[in-house]
Amino acid sequence: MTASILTVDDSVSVRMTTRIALTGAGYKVTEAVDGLDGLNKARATRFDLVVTDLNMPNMDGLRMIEELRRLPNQIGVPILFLTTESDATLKGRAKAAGATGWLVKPFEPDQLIREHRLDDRALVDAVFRALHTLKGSGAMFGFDRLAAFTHHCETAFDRVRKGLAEATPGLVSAVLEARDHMRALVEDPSGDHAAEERYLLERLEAAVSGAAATSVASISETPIKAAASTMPTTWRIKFSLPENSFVNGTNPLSFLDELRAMGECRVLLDKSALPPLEKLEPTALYFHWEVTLTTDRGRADIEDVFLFVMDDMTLEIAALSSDTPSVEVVPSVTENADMPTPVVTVAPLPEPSAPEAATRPVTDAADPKLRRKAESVRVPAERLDELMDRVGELVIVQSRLQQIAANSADIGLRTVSEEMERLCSELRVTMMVLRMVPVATLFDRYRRLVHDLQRDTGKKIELSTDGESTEMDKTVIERLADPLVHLVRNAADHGLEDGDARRASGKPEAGSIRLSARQTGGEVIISVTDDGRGIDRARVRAKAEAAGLIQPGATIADQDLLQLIFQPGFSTASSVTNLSGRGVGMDVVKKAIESLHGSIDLTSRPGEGSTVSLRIPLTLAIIDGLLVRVGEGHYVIPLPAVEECIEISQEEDLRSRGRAFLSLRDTLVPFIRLRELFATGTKPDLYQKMVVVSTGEERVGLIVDQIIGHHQTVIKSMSKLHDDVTTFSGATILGDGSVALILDVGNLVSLGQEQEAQLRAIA
Amino acid sequence: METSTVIRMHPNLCVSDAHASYSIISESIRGFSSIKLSIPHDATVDLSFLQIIEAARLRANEQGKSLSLLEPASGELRRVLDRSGLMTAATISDRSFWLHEETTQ
Repeated sequence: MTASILTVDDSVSVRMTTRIALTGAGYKVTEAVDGLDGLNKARATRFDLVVTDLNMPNMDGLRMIEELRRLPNQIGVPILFLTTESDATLKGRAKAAGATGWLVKPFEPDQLIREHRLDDRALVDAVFRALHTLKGSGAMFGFDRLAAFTHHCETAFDRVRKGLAEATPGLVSAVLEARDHMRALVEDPSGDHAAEERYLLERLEAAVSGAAATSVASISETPIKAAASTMPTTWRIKFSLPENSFVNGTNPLSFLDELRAMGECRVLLDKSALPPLEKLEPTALYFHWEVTLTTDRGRADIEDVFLFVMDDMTLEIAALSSDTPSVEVVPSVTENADMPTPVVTVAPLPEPSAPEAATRPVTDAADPKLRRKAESVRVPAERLDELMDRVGELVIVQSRLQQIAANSADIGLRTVSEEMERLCSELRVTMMVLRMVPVATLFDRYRRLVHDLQRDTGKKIELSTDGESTEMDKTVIERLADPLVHLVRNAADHGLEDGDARRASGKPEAGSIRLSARQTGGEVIISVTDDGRGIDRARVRAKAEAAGLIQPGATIADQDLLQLIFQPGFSTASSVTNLSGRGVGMDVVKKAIESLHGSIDLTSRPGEGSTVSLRIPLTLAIIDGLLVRVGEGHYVIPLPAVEECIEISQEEDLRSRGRAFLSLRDTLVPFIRLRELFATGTKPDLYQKMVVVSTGEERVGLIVDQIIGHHQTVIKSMSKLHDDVTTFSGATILGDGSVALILDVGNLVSLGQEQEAQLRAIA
Repeated sequence: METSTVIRMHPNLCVSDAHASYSIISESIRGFSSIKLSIPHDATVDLSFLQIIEAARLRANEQGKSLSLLEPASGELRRVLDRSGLMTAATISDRSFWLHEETTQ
């Protein structure tokens, strides 16, 4: 049965994001706009999970769950807070009110699903392994009560893992509470936790045994039963664990105990690898073992003992010859499908001293999903941000060193400076790569969205993607998720015609939405293209005039007209649908893209479709820049936008007075005199320079007094006071401590194009 | 050089205090010709301690020194000896060291 989830949040975008994520994962989602609404909906329906915001109008999240916990139909329902708050006191209050989990915004929708995807075997295994590790580590470091308690949780999950019990929201809820208790056992190991422990174990027991809760002891004492009974086999098990086992919390004694629990066992310790005392590292493990085990359990069960360390150890399991034949048990279904009966097949007897033919390297035996990925390390994003900040500071210091070295005759200093520059550059590149992820992770989210949009709109839609391997900063990708949802929904709802209209206009019945990504210089362009009806300019104009955005009959460039759809509250949809038409989507898109220092291009052909292109900087932290001087001020032009630099003689300068174009290889290029734009009040240099910059298709020349050279630029945001200064995208600190403003190339190109349009209009 | 000493071990003989145990025993072997280890009955013990003692026994033998337990292994130490399989194929010397069996027989 589909699990039913209630999401309570006053933010439309959060509700929408959550809904998309959860419905995409197959859950049924009910939404509420505040606590009161949530409570009313909970009175009518029992949910499997409630996800709620904390701060909401009418009734906040805390109050709602207090009330909700009193509802007879919501007993035992896990409640997860999704909030920007991370205050410990609040968390305590939430827990006291009945919350079972806490997720801090911004969050990845996948995180929510991960936490509550109940049928994912890999997740159950992951929880099991984590509990096992916690148990081992707890015992290793003297947290015996933690180890004992965790053992019960582990046992519960082992039953789920083995298919003897089902993962349910109740189990998730119980385990979340158990996690808090484990923390308490670490923080206060000698405290009185007996009552809480009993309560939690009863909940666990109830969760894994269904409605009929039995005694707590039954969890811990439930034997792990094989699916089939069999004749005993004698196995020789030789194993060596890695030297760092102790440090990693692995306790070999627990493996031996588990083997002993399987049957008659003879454990032989091999101390031959023990080094001399002076070379012994006290925390390293040198002992190896050889175990002879007679058991009715199979090879898989023995391997299971070493499930968590298989990748790093050597393990040989061999069936020994004995009076009884070596057997392998193959579970099989007989005529009575409800009664699996073992089929016993007699395996050939191996040589007494040789390992069984089926013995295989441990790494081959392990499920790839279970392998510990030694080659990768998970690092919190904040640490990467901190590292990025440090690299940024280092770049500034390096820049200063470079300047000092340039003014010094000391060859040694210059050599060190050059080496430093190279290392800084490499470090910067490495840092960037660390944060890069392919946009495929972003695009994948929209397949399910399009699937649902087909259902909601009744239109046939084909989604195609391109350039999925293009990489972007992870933070940027996360912040693009919402805007792209809006764009895809708009394309489906507004852009694409229904099947009849498409057929009538000679188009295939299925509409196309294409998501593409490509890198050009220092930016990535992500486009959403549909082959629908295109934007109806007449309707846009009518709406804009009605809303007072433009004067009736005013002349307005086509691009400016199209850009009106990004105005707050602007929508041409004649009716409000669940999908779009409330006029909030495109405004949200614009704000989100601007916050990323990006821009939006929109092209649309009537009857052919529209393309919205989001131009996003590859990174938000450090860029390569061209340092120039205009008057007495220094400015940085992002290097990826620079096409070429041209010297302009005094004669050429005089000739170009009163014009806004220069002929560049038979092409007229509009230019802007930055000295005039910035009103420097200084005289131009004898030989000025023109830096030709472009934003892909459009280009413009920027006339400066001097080109100083390449400059690695750490971007510092402008203050709030400068929000309306669109010519600059940020600032940077130069080696001598002075500030240089970073030019917003996109804005300057637009300015140049406007000038061009005005001059052409006059001409 | 002093001839003999009794080292009273601390009750945490686990990996978390393995460096301390190692230092005490190493120093003792360097400084004395006869060392007796007194292990608290309620000591918590793990394999790291067994490794240190086994390596120390070898070193003491090589240098002609005497290393022994003040009392036969008991409590958690005894349990770890059994659980680890160290006593499964124990030699007379092993049994004498850990369990003082020659004195009890």
